[in-house]
Amino acid sequence: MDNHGRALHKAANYERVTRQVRWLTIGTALITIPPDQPQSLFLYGLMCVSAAYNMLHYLPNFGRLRLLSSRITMLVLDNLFVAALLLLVGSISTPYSAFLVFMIISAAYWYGLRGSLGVIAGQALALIPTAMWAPFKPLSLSEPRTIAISLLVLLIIGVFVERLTRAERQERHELEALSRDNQTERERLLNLVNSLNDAIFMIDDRGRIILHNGAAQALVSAKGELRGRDLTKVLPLQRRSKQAVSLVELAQGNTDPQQRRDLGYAAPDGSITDLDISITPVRLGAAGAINYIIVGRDITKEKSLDQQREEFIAVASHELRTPLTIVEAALSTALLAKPQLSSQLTLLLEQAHRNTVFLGSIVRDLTTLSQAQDDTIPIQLRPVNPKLLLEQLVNDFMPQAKEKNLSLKLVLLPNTPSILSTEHHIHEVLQNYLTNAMKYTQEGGIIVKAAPSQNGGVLFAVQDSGIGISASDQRHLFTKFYRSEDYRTRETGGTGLGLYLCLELAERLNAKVWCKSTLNHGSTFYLEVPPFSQLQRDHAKVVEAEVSTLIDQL
Amino acid sequence: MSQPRILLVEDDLTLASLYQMRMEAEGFEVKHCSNGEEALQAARDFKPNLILLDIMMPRLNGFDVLDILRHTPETSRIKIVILSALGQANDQARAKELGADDYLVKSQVVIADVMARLRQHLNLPAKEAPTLESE
Repeated sequence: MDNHGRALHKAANYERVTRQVRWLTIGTALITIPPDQPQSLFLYGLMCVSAAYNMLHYLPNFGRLRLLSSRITMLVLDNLFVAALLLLVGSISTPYSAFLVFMIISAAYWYGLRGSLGVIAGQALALIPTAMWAPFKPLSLSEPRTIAISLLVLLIIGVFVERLTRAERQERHELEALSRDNQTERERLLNLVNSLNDAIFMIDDRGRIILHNGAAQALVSAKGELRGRDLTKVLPLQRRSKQAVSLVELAQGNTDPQQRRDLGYAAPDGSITDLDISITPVRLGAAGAINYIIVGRDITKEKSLDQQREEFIAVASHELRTPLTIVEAALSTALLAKPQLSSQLTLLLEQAHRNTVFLGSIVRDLTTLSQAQDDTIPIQLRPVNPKLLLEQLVNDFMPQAKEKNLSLKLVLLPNTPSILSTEHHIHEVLQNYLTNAMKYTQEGGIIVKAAPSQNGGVLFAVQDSGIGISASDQRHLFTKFYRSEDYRTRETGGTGLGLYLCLELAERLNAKVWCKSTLNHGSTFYLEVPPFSQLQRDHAKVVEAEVSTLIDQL
Repeated sequence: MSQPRILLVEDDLTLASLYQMRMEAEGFEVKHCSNGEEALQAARDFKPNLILLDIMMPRLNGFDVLDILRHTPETSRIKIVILSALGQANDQARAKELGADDYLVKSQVVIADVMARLRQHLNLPAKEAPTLESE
């Protein structure tokens, strides 16, 4: 029940109870008033008026007459009734004065101390002058009548108070039950959160820990109460390259949930626990401050398996390179003797040569990939001039374009800035884009573009007029080993690693890759490189920290 | 016109013999050395027009050979093309700084590319299908 409904219910209940009490009061008075006293007639008259007023309450539309039916009117009228009654019986010293108790309880029920004091003061003001005026002698009552009045009034008061406060009691029981439920619910949730094996922290927007579970306490070596402490200090994180990363900075200002698998917890004893970390911003209430829920799962084992796999690929692809170079060179050189070879032998040698070259390209992609994924290799940042980079690329691909009778153009927008990045990686990505464009374009041309990007870096694009990519293929384009079902692409060789490699390299540079394409009308592949890579910014921070410690030492 | 002379410096003997066979088939006069010290000696005696130089070799590595050749007056003008397994950008940058004319990464090129590049540096026209003499 909401507050408004509860108030209505309370008012209706009060009205009903008061009505019943009025009847009982009138009844009590009628039974107990001795009929042979001078004021008896007046008293019967008062009872008739009162009964008539009480009857009004049973009229169906009485509730609409605010002037007569409002709570304050009822209180005033009832008080006047009691005052008149006491006046007529001649004294406050008669047992009828007990009726005043109703008035005080009623007033206190609605208006608290002020109400009860108001009733007492009002009745006193009414009774003191009349007591001095004394129109009637006090009603002389026999002892049995006095006892009967007292008992009846006590009984009525008891019933009245019970009825009046029943709603309150119910409400209190409900609230108590609710609070017990809440408590149970809270304990259940706490048990649930505590029984999880993943470490859970809840932090406020300044990075202070509000809540955490048992696994969180077990994960970090910090002793004692964690609540209120700075999470960055409690759970220092770092990349595999040992670069410190602040979890709080990662969380702050990000309204979307994030997941990271590249961070480890660096314990004070020097051990590293690799974590799968998810950060979820939550807002408590509409205008509440943002809190963050951080869940960390120990993935040290998975990571070490990943690492072993990556190392295996790195070593295997490295060891494959030399024999492949030799086989390729041997086959290529053997093919020089073509004129002396039978056509069958030439065919076999050519097949062997073509596939060796293909195998070489797979191995090359795997090597580049394992290098791109190995974040222990520090990234080398140098100024990159987009103009020189693209000119070199276009030069490299020009012979191929001429051979296929395709136009190959370079468009460089003015104000395209130089950036601090790894030229090698950008070159590799664009080279992959161009190789694909060449492969899948039979007529028309290819345009290589560079333009200033919104984030102050460079937006590279390779646009072709080729076969295009279907919407369903576009979704998987940058996935490992994905190859389109389009029969036209099946005719050309590809490792299915090229674009995945582009994605990995771009991530290394903190750059973005994506593509836009219409089937049969060509595709455009994009690479957006920031003005300097994330690592550079982290590095700048480290330098800043070093300088400030140096200043502190001075 | 006399045959262009090429000094092949490569410690993998199988690969070296293949390269030698190929380059001879393409009409070059070839001398092979399998370490850096031999290479320095041959650069003075054989007087090659171009040196195809590996980097990872026993005794003297390719970077050192390159550095010495560039600082010796009689060899400082010989064309030098690096052909190495090292593909890192900083290796390439270092070779360029030391004065290499070109840098090829073994895994990124096929033998035909290497031959085309050699011809380019020797200002020779791209050659149509050379033939291998039958045994």
